[in-house]
Amino acid sequence: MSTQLSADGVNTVTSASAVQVHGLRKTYSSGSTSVEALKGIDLTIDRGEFVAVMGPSGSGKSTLMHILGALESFDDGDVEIGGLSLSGLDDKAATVLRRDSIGFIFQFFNLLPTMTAEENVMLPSLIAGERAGVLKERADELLELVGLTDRAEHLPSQLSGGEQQRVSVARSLMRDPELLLADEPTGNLDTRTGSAVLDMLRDVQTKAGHTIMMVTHDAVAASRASRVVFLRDGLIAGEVPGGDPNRIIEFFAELETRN
Amino acid sequence: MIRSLAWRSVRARKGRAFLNAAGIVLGVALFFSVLSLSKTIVSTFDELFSSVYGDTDLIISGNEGVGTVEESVLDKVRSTKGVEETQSVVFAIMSLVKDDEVGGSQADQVFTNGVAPDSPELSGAEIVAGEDTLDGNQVQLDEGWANSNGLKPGDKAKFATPTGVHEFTVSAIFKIGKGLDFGGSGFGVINQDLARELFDSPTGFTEIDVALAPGADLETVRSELEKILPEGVEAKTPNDVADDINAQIQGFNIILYFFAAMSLFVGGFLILNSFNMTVAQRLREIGMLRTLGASRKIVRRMILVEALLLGIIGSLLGIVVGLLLTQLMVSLVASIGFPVGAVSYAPEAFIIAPILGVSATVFGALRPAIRASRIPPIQAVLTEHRAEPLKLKRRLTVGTVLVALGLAGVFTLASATSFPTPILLAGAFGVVFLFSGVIMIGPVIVPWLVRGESWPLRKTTQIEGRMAADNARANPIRTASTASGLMIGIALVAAIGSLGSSFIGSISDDLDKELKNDFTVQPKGFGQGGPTPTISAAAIGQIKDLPGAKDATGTRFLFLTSGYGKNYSAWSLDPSNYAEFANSEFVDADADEVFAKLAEGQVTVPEALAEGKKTKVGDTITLEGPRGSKKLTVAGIQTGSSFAAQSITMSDETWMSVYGIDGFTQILVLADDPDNPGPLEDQLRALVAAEYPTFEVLSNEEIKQQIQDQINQVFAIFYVIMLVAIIVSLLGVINTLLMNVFERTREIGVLRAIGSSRWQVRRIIIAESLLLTLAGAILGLLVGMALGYAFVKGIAASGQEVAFHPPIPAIVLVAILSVIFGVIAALLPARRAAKMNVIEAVSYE
Repeated sequence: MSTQLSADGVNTVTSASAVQVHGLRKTYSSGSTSVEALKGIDLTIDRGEFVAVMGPSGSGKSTLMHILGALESFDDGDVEIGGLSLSGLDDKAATVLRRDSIGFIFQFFNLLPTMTAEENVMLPSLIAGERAGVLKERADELLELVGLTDRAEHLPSQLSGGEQQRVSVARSLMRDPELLLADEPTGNLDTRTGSAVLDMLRDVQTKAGHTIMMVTHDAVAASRASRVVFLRDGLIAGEVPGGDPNRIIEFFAELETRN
Repeated sequence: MIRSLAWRSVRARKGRAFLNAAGIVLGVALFFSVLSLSKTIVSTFDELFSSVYGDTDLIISGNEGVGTVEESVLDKVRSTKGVEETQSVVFAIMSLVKDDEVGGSQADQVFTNGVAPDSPELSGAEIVAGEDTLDGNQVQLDEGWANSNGLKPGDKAKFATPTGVHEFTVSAIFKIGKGLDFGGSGFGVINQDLARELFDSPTGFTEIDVALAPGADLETVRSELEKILPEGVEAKTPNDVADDINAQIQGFNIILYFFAAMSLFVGGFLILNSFNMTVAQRLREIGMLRTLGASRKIVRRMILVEALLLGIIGSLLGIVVGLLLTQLMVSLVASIGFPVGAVSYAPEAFIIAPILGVSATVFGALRPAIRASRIPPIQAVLTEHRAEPLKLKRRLTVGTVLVALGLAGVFTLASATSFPTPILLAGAFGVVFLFSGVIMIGPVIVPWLVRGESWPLRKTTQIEGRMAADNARANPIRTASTASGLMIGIALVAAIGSLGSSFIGSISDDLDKELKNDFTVQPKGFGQGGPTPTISAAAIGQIKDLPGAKDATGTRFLFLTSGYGKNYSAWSLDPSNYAEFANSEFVDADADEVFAKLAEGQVTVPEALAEGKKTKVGDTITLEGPRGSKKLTVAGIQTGSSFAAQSITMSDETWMSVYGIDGFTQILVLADDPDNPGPLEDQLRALVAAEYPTFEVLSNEEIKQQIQDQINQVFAIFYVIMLVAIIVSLLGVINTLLMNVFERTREIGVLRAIGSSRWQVRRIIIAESLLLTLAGAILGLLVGMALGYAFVKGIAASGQEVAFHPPIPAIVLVAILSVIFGVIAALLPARRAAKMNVIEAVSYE
């Protein structure tokens, strides 16, 4: 448990952890076949923590992320984001949660091609119905944070992949969310640009105190997190602290051969 | 193998296939029903003439049925060699009076022949009930009409006649042919002596029916008769008469065919757009086939066979829908007072409509098929689809030339005074060129239009308006094509509307200037064509005697179908007092002088006719009537829009010497106190209702309203046809929106992932739909008004008095409809966007 408390403490914070997952199960059925993607996951992510989730294909890591992002329902167990339970959320409530408490960073950036960098950053708040005038200041701050102040008026097509991903990071921060979810954020970038984006994510965590969960299969990327959680066959298979890519690779290799 | 691929493709994209087929279904249905409608009209008349004139070989009447024939003609006809029997007829329309109310509808009318009781029966009528007598007040009625009005032999029935209400006794019920249905109207026979009195027709015959002696040659007898008949009187076979009427409705048919063809054009255009999208969507699949070794020919054929399948299915369904639509159209036409009987389907419609449907489909798919076959295999597999690059300059140049040619063609048609095939083709191609030109220019201007339209949406919504506008502008060719599809239907509505409002507007403006009288007494439904009831001279006297009445005068009207004044009307007036009742305007002449000359037996000619015939004041024109052919001097060229001003006018004496019709068509009435005509109006209405129930009293405002209603009624059928075309193009909007949703799966997914509600996504699609339908509406209104303007200018150039008035009701209607249609078209695509699987949408490239 973290000792970090927000200024107005009691009012908003009922738990020091940003994410609490207990006995999470998810089964996909189609016709007569069904696949158990998550078989009972327990996971706690403290506020301000940067957690990487790794695992082979089909381990359930994407499913876990989609459930945490309120994009997918689950069958059993409980998930809390910032103390708010995700059980039985209807589409409307899930939409509000995604809008106000979650920030997404996608592998393919997913910026809207007809909007400028600045507009893309403002988008989540525009969706929430806030006036563009007020938002500009905040968007400019965020663009400065990700080092793209001079690119504010550019369209995504005029930006490099790394720049696009930085805009996407700025966008994910627009609503000051409880949890940032990054899905293979470096998967579509070359090593150097990818590394710069990861540096930025670390900054976002350490300087601004955001909670980040990143799904990746790149050990070097995962090593930038404070800890790395491994998934295999829908269960937590163990975890190692971040920092050393070799240790992660070893653990991963051992996991592959484990029976 | 190609067929099976094509078939699978149809089945795999059921939704799109359904939309495409629906366009063809509606187009084919419309064409089918228009063909059947005109077939129904034609066979109504054929049936009528073959049964009503069962044993008649020749009909002797004034040129194409106008006026009456002098009685002396009858003896001459009887003594002609080869003529066996004759029957003379005095004709008028009577209306049934039920519970002291005169029925005004067509179903209340009885076409009544006054015949001599002892004359031979030359119609195909057969008495089925009662006694075959025609004494005194007896009337014989046809079976169908009598049944539907519950009349049997021995019953008493009141009818409104030209001289007032009269009570008859039904003596017999007869059956004509297979039982006739003439738009609900009935047929009746009364004693000729009574008819002379009741129909205010003391002299002459409306027609003389002739049966030939056995073995006599029709043509020989006809040429013998022509030698003894006065000029202006003709001997015709019943078939000739039917053919004349069919020739008259040919113009109406051509317009119907044109509109039906336009909606098939829209259907073909929908196919073109849709297959273009299908090809774009299937780039990878097609590229894959090509990499696997499929030739260009196979790709091309695959798409064309798919179109063929759709065309066949759509056309077959189209016939089924067409069978229903025909019923609707026939009842619509009947409701505007056109006589139509039982629906009869045109055999050729079963062949022509599907051939056109399949052709439109395959033709529409041609270019997309060629485009698909040109896709390089590797490119198709590797790259994402990009919108076609725009050749702006070429589009603008070619488009502008086409628009100019198109407007010129329309102007040529409208300014023509006769309509040979080249002129009709110039008009039809003019419209097609105009639309093609606008379709060419579309991608250049529509994005601007959309941007302009989206302004209020962008101002009032955070992202919906913005996203919608971006989506609509992302693929200018597709957006423009979709809007252009709508444009065609809406443009035709606006063009028809422009014609209507221009006629109505010009006529009301002129009537305000021309009418000086306070009330007009005229037949109910006057101006709708067909035989018109008349009113006797005695009625004029009665009206003059009413308290509050200052003066009254009678006029007579006749539509001319041949000779110098063909397609105009003849009008009789009293030159001594007509100036009190109307402001008549003449080119470079004073009305008093012209009227003085009318009293001496001269005539006036309407300006349009004079220009067409190059007639000048002082020229001699020949008018042919059943009373003979008269050479008459032109006293003046008349301008204006009232019925009289659009007619050849003459004094009562001149009228009788040419046409020989006694009864009056209109009585114009002046009140003592024009500022307070109320008391006179009440008296006048009471008098006319009681004694002349086939007539009605109209104020000047009511006359204008009536003309407006009549024009709108005639145009109603065109509006219905164009509505179908608009619905067809709406399917194009749905198609485009679905395609846009498909292409923007990822963007919509992102919006959902970062917190857009389903409603926000729906609103984006609805806004996009509105932008499309509004763009189509604006484009359509502009093009339609340009079309209407060219048409009105053309008509004005032909000499008719008409000025362009913008079609305000049509504009309002289109604006409201385009919003409603925009929302309807968005329903399915918006639902699909809102229900999208967010994870799939954002996770994969």
